[in-house]
Amino acid sequence: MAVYLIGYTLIALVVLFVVFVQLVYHRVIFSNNAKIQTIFGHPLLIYSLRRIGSALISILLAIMATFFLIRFKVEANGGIEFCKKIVTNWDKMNPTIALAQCQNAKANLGITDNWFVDLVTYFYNILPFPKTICLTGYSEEVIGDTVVFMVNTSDCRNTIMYLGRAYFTTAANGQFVTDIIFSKMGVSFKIGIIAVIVEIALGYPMGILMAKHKDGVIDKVGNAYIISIDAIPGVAYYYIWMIILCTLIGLPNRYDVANPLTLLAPALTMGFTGMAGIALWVRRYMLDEFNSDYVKFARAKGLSENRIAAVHVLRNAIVPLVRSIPAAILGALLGTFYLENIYHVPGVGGLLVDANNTNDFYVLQGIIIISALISVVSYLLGDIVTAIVDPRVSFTKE
Amino acid sequence: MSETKEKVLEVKDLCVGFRSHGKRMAVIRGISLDVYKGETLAIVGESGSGKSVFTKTFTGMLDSNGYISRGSIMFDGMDLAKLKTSKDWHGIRGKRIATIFQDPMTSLNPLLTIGYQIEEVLRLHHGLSKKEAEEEAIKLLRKVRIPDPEARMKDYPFQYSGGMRQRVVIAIALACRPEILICDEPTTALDVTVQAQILDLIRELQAEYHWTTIFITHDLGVVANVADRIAVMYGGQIIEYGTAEDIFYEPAHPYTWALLSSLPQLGTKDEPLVYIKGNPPSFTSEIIGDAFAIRNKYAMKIDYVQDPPMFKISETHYAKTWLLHKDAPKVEKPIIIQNLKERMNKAAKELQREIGDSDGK
Repeated sequence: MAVYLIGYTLIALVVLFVVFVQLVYHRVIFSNNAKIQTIFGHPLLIYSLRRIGSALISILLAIMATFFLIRFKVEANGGIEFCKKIVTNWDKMNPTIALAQCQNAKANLGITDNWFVDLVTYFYNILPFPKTICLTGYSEEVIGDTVVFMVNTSDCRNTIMYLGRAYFTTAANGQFVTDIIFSKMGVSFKIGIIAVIVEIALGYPMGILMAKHKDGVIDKVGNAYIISIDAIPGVAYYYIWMIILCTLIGLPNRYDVANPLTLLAPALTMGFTGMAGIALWVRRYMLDEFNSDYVKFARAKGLSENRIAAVHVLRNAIVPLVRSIPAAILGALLGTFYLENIYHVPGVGGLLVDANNTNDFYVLQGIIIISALISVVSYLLGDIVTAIVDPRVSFTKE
Repeated sequence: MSETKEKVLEVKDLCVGFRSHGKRMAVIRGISLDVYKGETLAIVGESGSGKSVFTKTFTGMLDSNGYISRGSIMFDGMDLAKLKTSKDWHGIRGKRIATIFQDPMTSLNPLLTIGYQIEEVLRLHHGLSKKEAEEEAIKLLRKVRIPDPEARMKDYPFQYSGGMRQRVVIAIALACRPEILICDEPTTALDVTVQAQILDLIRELQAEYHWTTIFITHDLGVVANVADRIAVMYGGQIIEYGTAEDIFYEPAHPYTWALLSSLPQLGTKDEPLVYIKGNPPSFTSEIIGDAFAIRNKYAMKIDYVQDPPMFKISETHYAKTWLLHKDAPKVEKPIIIQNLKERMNKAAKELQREIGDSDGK
């Protein structure tokens, strides 16, 4: 019951908050209270809510599109291909029992004959409010020569968001998709966040130094690095870094949950390659700003070159760059397939490929929904961060 | 101008070159000029005459491929031509010699508050604390007549109009009580009424703070209103200089004649607008003789062969043309500038009326 109580309270609070903000913004209530007006009537808040609203619509459309694509695949060849896959020992079984087992498995997957009802059920399942999801558990017993299918007790679970269960993915059979994705996300994120930190911590200073000493030694070395990362395919430079980090320096090259040190090699590989792109853009925007009139005037004011670079130029140069930082951080949740593959990391990147290869469509759809949510949130955060660093950005309608 | 005037800046035979694509170009070709304390000196010339480059040497702000190849700039016992690094310039650039630029729209950093950009200079040059700097900045904004300065300190440049931004730029230049203020076409980007207000403001503040103003402009109309002395530049040289009266009423160089004749304010509806034919000289090849000769209908043979020296016309008035040589033939000035005085007065009255009209609205 606790999950219901907490869940519905949260939903009620969110709805109340949205209504309250809208009323304040349109001056229906608290129209004379300056403090409440500035906090809850803030254009940024209204803008964010609107953005979330319109983003939800695009997410719904994305879900519908993938839902139908997957359904086409399931129903192909009268559904027999699918049954053969989902029911083990299909050929050996009594056809009636096999079909019944297939029907049950389909029902658990939310596949009935009515597509529309299925879609509505799916939406009901993924909408984030508390619900109880029950699945029919079954077991197989051998009586005589035939395999008999026995229905057992229902397996029920309280959950907020139900993305279905995995059916084919090896080592994850029957698990909740949310559980699989979130546990794998944890692994991907640990590596990704270290990589993002390395990228930003090294990429920004590298770009700044290159811009400050344009055409100097640092700039030339930096450019050579950026060009080589750009020119060499990812496959190759991941291995180059693997050789440097693991063979030469001696970092472990196989992921192990128990040993945090194993995170280092994949994270650094990602960070060192990612920083090239960041340095390229930081350098470019810095150079653009160095040529602007306000820098000329800042020099005429007698400010030192270091101060001009740090206070005046950098601030302007990062405006177009900060927008991508939330996307980089949240994108770390989704991992990178190739990198995770060569370092044997059980992350989301590998899961996506696995699910695709085995037609495990709830896993596939779950990843799609979650990455859609992530991109929507990161764009929104990107806009907010931009508004914070650039006073010229305004969210009011003009 | 009496001889007792104290020199604040003494430029001797200054030459500036630029390196570009392996070539060297002489852009400033031997300028000597004295600037007196408290005066307003206008440097006029068309685009590419080197007027901006010339004044940039006073603050060491030449582009990275520019260099001083010869000459000296004496300022308070120091030779500014010898200063190299920005450390050398500390305490001079922005503090004793300040510059304001053409475009107020882009001279201020768009992401920093107006207050911060003023305080920054005060803290750097006068070592004020944050609070002292803030108080001083408010005073400065009031001085340049920004209404409600306390509140507007927190605003960003995009919340200011063009004229107000130029006032802020002036406030920043003013902040350090400079001895010399270089105004690089400060009003070009502004409309006529705002132009007049800004010029008035600069003049008023100059009277109060007694600095020396060096005005760079291609607009002789602006010059007529503000300048005590005028130096006319062409092809990287000063070809004529003297008091405003000298230049406007007794111009001696054909280029100055041409400039004055082409003032649109002086034209009347029934005569076609006068313009100077041809292009300013290119610096890529060496200039032989008088740089203006090819565009000059008064040019003589010697103009194509030998660069004229500076001829003295009066104590204050000098010009660099062979026409002043004792052997040169007598030539008549263009008619349009012979009755320049009355035309000028007429034009000034019209401008006054225009400004009066728009103020009244």
